[in-house]
Amino acid sequence: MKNIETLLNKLKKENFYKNQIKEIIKIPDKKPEFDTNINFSKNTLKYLKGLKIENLYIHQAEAIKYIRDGKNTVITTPTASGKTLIFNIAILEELEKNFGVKGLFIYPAKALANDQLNGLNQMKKLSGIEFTAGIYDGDTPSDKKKYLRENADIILTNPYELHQILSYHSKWKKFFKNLKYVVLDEAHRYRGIFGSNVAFVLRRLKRILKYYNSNPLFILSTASLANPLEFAEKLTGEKFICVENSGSPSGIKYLCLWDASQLPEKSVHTQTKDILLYTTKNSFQTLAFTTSRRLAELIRMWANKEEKNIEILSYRAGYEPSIRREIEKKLKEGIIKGLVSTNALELGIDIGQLDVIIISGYPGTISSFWQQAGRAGRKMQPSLIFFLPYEDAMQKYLIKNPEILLNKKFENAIISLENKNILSGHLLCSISELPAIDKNIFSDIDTSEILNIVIDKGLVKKTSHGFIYTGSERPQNIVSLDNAGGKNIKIKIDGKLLEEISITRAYREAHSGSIYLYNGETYFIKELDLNEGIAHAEKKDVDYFTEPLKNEEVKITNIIKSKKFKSFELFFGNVSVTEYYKGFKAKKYGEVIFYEDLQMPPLHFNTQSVWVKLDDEIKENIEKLKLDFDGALHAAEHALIALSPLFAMCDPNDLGGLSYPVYEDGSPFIFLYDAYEGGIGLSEKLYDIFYNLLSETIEMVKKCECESGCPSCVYAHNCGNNNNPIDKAGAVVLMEKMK
Amino acid sequence: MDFDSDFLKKFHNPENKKNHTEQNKKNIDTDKNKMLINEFNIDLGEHLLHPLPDKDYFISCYKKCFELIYGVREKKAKKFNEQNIKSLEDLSNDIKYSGFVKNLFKILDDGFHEIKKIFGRRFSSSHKMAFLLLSFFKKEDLLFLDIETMTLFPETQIITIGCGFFQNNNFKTIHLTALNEEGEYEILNEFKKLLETKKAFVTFNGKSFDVPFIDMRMSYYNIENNLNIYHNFDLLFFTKKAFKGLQKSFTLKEIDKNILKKYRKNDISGDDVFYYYNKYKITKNMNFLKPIINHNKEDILSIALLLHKLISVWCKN
Repeated sequence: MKNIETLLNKLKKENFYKNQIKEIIKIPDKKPEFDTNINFSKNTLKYLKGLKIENLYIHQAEAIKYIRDGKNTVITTPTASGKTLIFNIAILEELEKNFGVKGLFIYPAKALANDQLNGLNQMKKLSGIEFTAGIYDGDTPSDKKKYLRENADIILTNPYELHQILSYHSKWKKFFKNLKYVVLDEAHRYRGIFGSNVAFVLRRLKRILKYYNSNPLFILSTASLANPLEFAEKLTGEKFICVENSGSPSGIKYLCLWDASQLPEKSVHTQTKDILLYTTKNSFQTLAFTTSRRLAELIRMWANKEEKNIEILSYRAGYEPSIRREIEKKLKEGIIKGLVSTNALELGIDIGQLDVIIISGYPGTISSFWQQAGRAGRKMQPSLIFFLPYEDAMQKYLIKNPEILLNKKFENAIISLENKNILSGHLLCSISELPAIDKNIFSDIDTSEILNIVIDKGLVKKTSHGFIYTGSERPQNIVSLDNAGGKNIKIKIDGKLLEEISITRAYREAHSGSIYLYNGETYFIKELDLNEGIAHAEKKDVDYFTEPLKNEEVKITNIIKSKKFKSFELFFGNVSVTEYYKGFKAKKYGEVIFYEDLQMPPLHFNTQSVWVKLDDEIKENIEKLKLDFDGALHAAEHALIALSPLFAMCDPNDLGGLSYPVYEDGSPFIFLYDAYEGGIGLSEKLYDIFYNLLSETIEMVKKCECESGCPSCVYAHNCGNNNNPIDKAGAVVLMEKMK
Repeated sequence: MDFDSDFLKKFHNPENKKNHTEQNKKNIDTDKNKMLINEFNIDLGEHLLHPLPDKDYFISCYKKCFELIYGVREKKAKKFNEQNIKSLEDLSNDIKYSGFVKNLFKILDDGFHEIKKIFGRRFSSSHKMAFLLLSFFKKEDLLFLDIETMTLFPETQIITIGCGFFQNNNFKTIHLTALNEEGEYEILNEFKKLLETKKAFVTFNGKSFDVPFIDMRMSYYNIENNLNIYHNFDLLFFTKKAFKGLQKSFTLKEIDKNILKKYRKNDISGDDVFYYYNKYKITKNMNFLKPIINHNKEDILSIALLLHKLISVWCKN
């Protein structure tokens, strides 16, 4: 048996080891828990036998019992706990009982559907139950699409395709009429803007299903979340029951927290390569996750250059599907010893289990972290996970507070049904799919106000056949599931479209002179033409990245709710934000290599915000201690924003913030706001959990070993005032006084 | 929250940006008529008398068509001719082919639907034999169809449905135009009535565009339809085959000029239909509908003449 502890001890003797191991956490093994009291038909038993499964784990049996009882079910158990088997058995049992029933399996990414189709075909073979399953997406030829619409029992698709096909529902009549199950796998991916859009696509689907008298059951699988029920219900508009106690086993896991800054002459990426070579040379099959395609390629290249006897491969989106399939197969068969991958392998693609996982750079959410980590642990064997955070406040905080990582139910998946841009776009799509009889198009959302607006704009007309769509463009072509409506900027290379992004994102990432990252490749933005709505880009391999510098102004437009704490009042409401982009800095390996000014008109948008109004007493207390109040407030704002993604499961750029030592009414204010027109629900969640956010933020700042502030605690990389004034000690006092 | 309704501008074609409020007011105040029906009697001249291919001609072509046999393609069919095998009957005693031949004669006896099925399996949509299915119809069975729409996407509305048909040896066109948002429902129902006495469509790209578009719009309003039972002679495919190499672009306008030698007077481009319709919606001046109806009439006429042309090319005894 391979010994992880020996491997780690030996590692400490390697040249590249300079006390980087901050802590090794031993996560105990978990024995399997089976349910032996669930009965199956002969065919299902044949299927299970074929898979060499004698008993189901308790969570699988629990979920199947709920589904049999006709309950919408959300399953939130770890990676590789056998969630797919639940969907498969559910549909198999129906197909066996009722000829002609249908299942719609929705996956967030195309790659996943391929893998699942193989599983379904295997089920057909093993069970002896005849059915037709097929993938229906943008790559499916039109004759095959027609065949699947008319003949398939199970269709595997993605939300983008669903968004496009709903208006053709008359061609799907047979399928929709007989739809029994809608399965949403990896549903935690449907969060933020994408998730908010998907929530409306599902409501549009349900509206059409109702038209065909169809009322299917929803089955969701998600990573561990703090709010699985709230999330599932918001995503689908249905009531759910949650299955969360996993019966699946796991071997001992060693989580090794690696502080790369102990060896400053080597970057995190180089140290990733060192660990990867070390573990593979010691015959531990290793998969290293990086945060970009470019890094995946670089680390592979460095490793192969240094060690010619071991072949290290890389894996990322953008490779030909056949190459990806081959790598997946070889990895599963143990032929590949070392692989560097982007998060493309994080999704539920079947690659078997590995000995060692290296997570180089926090993947953005705790659930992604555990999805990556979940790739380790072969058949109850011990496994090892290295975590190498980058230099930023939240990542550093995580290795100092690994209990946050270990508490897998920390994060909330957030979607917003209130963003009026998103709502209006999908409302128009939905009315173009079926005339509306009632002003409330979706059963659980009040759409009357938006409907009046679109009527006023001449896009919908009330007729004797209901409200009908009268716009002159196909709404499905205008509504993108990846943005929140509003003005968009097209990023073009020699006139060819690379990507369309919101104007707020373009100000931050695609201004003139910026380096724009797309699918892990770097592009230089030659010019952002706001009048034409185009950012002219060129492909350029550079080793630096850019960050804008901005100042903001926030005006409160509407208070929705508030609550009083000991020394501050907390509000949630609507604000109008004006951002002034004054320049940007270019950074290489964390060092600023140049600054450049920008001449851009201010960016104005309306959004949602959570804000704090501090009692004057706090200011007096801080000043009594001879601390800088303005600096303390500024530092507290940065620190609160830095930790918010831990709770709100979002990208740090999804939130903006601003502090005012003296706001309009004379009191000190801190604003945290959704950085998108209309908001995406992040601020509202932060309002709900603000006290927890405050407590964790205090801990984060206090535990940071720096003297007066650093990027790991109170410095923000995109601060328009260059982190000035900043008072770290003041921030701790200020926040402690708030508690 | 303040709603930045600028986003909604994207759902209007730029031509439709102006005066939508004014347009709405006018619609509400003055829209009593929902639909406009225009009828024209067209003089097709000599073409009117041109007969459709007859059944005997079809049967003789069918019997000579070796490509109906599984495994036989153009090259093999040529070989049969070289071997002085001139018809399917000549293969009825051949050990390898007799079974196929027997089945093909049975299909011929079974009639149109079985023949259509085997053509669907054996031939492309542009095959001459598919065209010769016309012999199963009388002129009066055919409905020449062309529609004018807001966009190419059936999530938006139909403006005009144009139909042409033979009646008492005359060629007649009817154009059903929606005068307002209520009107589309009316024109679809009126079209449904027109269909009752017809058995097949003659269209130009109607398999991909006109018929599915109407089907989608009828489904949108929950209007029952059986459009799928109508055979569709989509002349686009036949024209591409019959006049292969003659021209690069197979638009009706180009076909008019190069094949039919027909010159359209004062006709607008299909792309301008939306512009004129929008002008009509803003002003309620019926004169803005005339160019649309005229364009639609020209298209129907071209389809009828193109059918005649194809008959003259492909049905020489």
